[in-house]
Amino acid sequence: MTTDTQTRMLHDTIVMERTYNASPARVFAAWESVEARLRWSVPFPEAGAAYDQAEFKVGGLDIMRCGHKDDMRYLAHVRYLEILPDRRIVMAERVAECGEIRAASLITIEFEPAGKATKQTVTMQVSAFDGSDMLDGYSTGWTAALDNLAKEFE
Amino acid sequence: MQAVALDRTFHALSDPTRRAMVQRLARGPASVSELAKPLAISLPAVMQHLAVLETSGIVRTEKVGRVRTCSVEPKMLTLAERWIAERRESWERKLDRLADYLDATASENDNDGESK
Repeated sequence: MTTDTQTRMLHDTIVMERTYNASPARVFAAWESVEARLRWSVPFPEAGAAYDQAEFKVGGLDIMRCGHKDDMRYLAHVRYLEILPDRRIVMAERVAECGEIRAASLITIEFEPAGKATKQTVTMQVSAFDGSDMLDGYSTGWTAALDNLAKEFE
Repeated sequence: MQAVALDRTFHALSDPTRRAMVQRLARGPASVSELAKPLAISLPAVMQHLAVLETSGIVRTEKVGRVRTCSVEPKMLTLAERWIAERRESWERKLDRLADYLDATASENDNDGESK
């Protein structure tokens, strides 16, 4: 668990575009407000999220736990690198699962007016940690089966 | 495309019999009858489970003479690949929910754009 010699890095860039029927100011506000974020940023009904700290300002840090309602195993640290109201947000995110780092990402959110609507582009540059040390952290269900397989091919 | 592959993997491994088969194959290749032996199910049922595992890309089978040999497919998604695919899926959902949120709050916020 403590050695990191087998960890490899995987890099990916994910771009997601949406056009929302709202002004850039309202879309920006949905990111700015913690209450709003808690309303929309839970990806499925059984998921949960809770903020231990929220500091939406340049240099500010959010600390958030998320995952399944009964098992909030992910801990995210988000540092805001740049905030331009109604235009863009740039943040660096570190995500750990059960104490093991899973990924470090640079996330850029851009808002562009499109008539009365807003075109929003989210670009995530992800560096994911792919280590055998992390495989030991899992225990149940299909993950265990997958992990056995993964170890087989290390 | 990655999300579809992930769905298939999840589905394939959602069944305890199939997980047992994969765990057996992780130790090394086996014939269908060897694979079926410890399982309390019929051979046709084993074949059905094998088909699911083959479709998901977890297992591949090869017929040599009269024996069909099964082995795990080394080209599985790595942990990090799965992580990135899961994140993408979860973010796609979140951004869709943001649209719902903005629609739901449109009437709450009549002074649109002037709150700043």
